[in-house]
Parts: sequence; structure tokens; C-alpha cells
Amino acid sequence: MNQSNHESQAQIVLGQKYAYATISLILGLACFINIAGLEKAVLAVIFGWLALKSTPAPVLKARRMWAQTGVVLGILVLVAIPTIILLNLDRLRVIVEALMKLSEGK
Amino acid sequence: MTKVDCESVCRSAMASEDGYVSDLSAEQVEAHLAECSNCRTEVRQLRTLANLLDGQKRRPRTESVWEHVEQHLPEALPTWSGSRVWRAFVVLGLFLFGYRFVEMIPDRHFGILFKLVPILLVIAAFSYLRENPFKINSQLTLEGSETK
Repeated sequence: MNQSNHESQAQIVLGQKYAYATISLILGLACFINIAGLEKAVLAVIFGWLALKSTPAPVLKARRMWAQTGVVLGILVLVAIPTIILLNLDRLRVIVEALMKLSEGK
Repeated sequence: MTKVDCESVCRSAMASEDGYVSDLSAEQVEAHLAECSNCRTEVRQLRTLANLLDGQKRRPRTESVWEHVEQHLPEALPTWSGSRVWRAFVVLGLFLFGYRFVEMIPDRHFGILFKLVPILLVIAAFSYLRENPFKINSQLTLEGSETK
């Protein structure tokens, strides 16, 4: 009984370390990707969805709110950033041109 | 010397039929069969049964079981050795560093599609390793226990 309980706890710890290892690699790789911050939002939604989905069992209960918040924040960024860019496309073009002129002038 | 009775005669008769050496000689068997109608009937039935069985042919197996076996194979496939995974990630890291250096070259604008290069590199690396980082692994094993 005690042995079984100990193994069960070890499996839980192992699962969390496995998740940390995966996230460490993915974030390390994401350091080289820069798409206006959207890459981090995509990862937040993917990892949050993986944490929240019901299969395979069991369903996550602890820190469920964390995953939900991560998904919501990720979706917010995924919606907000492209919207802001699209709404201010003309202004952004002016800013980019000004920055390029500054760059050429130095 | 084997006692000549109904049982030994039937056994010897069938042994001879199957090509084995029998306990009794052919003359002894024939002599007994000539006198014993029960043994004649039994030997005749046994011969009929033997002929019937000899006439049977094993049905050739046409159905393929490979698909059913294959479904269970991925778990049994050998996992990548640590050194191969390590090498793959080192190569990926070098490519990513190279990308970053190229990206930092001043007065060069490669366009928006250039930003997708590291994503493609990462996808290529995971495809090469046949790993899906976004798949939940239900086959984790504790250190020291046998891997499946």
C-alpha cells in the first residue's frame, strides 16, 4: 500500500518534470522566433488547451484556472495585435518609413 | 512377446497403416482379424477415419494480421538513443544561431517570410526525430523500471 502510494507520487513528480522539460525546450526554441510576440501567444493557447482537455484522463483540477487564464490571455494577444496592426496600418507605415530614414541617415 | 488381443491387434494394424513398426507381425494381425469380426469393424472404421483425415488439407491463410499487429507497434518501436537526439538538437541550435546572425546583418531586409525560417527548422527537427512536443505521453516510466 505504502509502496504503491510512493510510486504514484513519483509518477506525479515525473509527469511534472516531463512537462517542464518540454516547455523548456519549446521556450528555448521560441527565443529564435519573433513574429510580433504572437509566437508566445500561440504557445500559451496550445499548452493551455493541452492542460485543459479531458483526454487522456484524469482531468486537471489544480491550477486549472492558470491554464484557462493562459488560454484567454493568449487569445487576447492573438486577436488584439493583428487588429491593432490592421487598424493602424497607415500610421505604422509612416513610422517604419521614418525609422528607415533615421537608419539611413546615421 | 506382446500378447495378442483385440487392443494390441488394432493398435498394430493402425501402426502398420501409418508406416510405423508394430508390436505384432502382419501374420499375427491378419490371423486375428480373420477370426474377430469386432476388430475387423474397428480397423475398418479406423482406416476410414485415417483416410478422411489424410484427405484434409490445411486451409491457406489469406487474411492479413499485419494491420492489427502494426497498430500496437509504435509503442514497441525502439526509442531514439540519447546521442542521436543530442546531435539533432545541436544541429538545430547551430542553424538557429546562424539564422540569428544573418538576421542581425545591418541594412538587410529579408522580408516577412524570412521570419518563418526558424519555425520551419524546428518543424523539420521534430519531424526528423518523429516527436510531437504537443502530444501528451501516457507511457512515462520511473527510473529503474523497465521501459515499454
